[in-house]
Amino acid sequence: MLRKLTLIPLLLVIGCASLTPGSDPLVVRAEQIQTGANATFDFVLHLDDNNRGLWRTNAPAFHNFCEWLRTPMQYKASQTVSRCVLMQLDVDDLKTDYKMNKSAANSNVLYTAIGTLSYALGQSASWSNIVVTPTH
Amino acid sequence: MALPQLIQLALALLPTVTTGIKEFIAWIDSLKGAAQQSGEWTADQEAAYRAALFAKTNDPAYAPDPA
Repeated sequence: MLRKLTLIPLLLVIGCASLTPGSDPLVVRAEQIQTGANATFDFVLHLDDNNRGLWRTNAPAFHNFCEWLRTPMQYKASQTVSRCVLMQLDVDDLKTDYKMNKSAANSNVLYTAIGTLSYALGQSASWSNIVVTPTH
Repeated sequence: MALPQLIQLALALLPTVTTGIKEFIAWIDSLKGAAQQSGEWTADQEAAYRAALFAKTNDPAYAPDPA
């Protein structure tokens, strides 16, 4: 409890920073989502991994969502990564393409990939809401 | 869900968290860092991010249940 109370003042100072001159808002937005997604996927997957048997039995929908995030996928036909990592790599690759050629087509594709990653991030955050709070 | 909304959700949840406190706080800290980002990543940050992603292939938490 004390640890929680000492953190509250720190957490209250959270605010969004303004962009530095020369930064592309779409690139910064992509990187913010990448950081948030990386942390959120890590959080839910480690939470599930700490006691898979418990979650599989008591919260199967949460465990199934984690398994969906873990589904092995092919990255560039040479490497197998989990689905959540592939989504992040896709955004990162599209962001690199966009930085090299800032065309409308590249920005649209990147925007769509950010939306997909953001959706999975939102779902993970919603699950974290359910599994870290008491249900009684 | 936008990062500021996520942070608000996390802050609202904080007093009720009963499981994984340490991980929960690390998660909030990362969200805070993302929300406060003001410029594009440097080449080093980009490389570190990609290396961290590929390192997850060896993280047991990212491995699916055995069939």
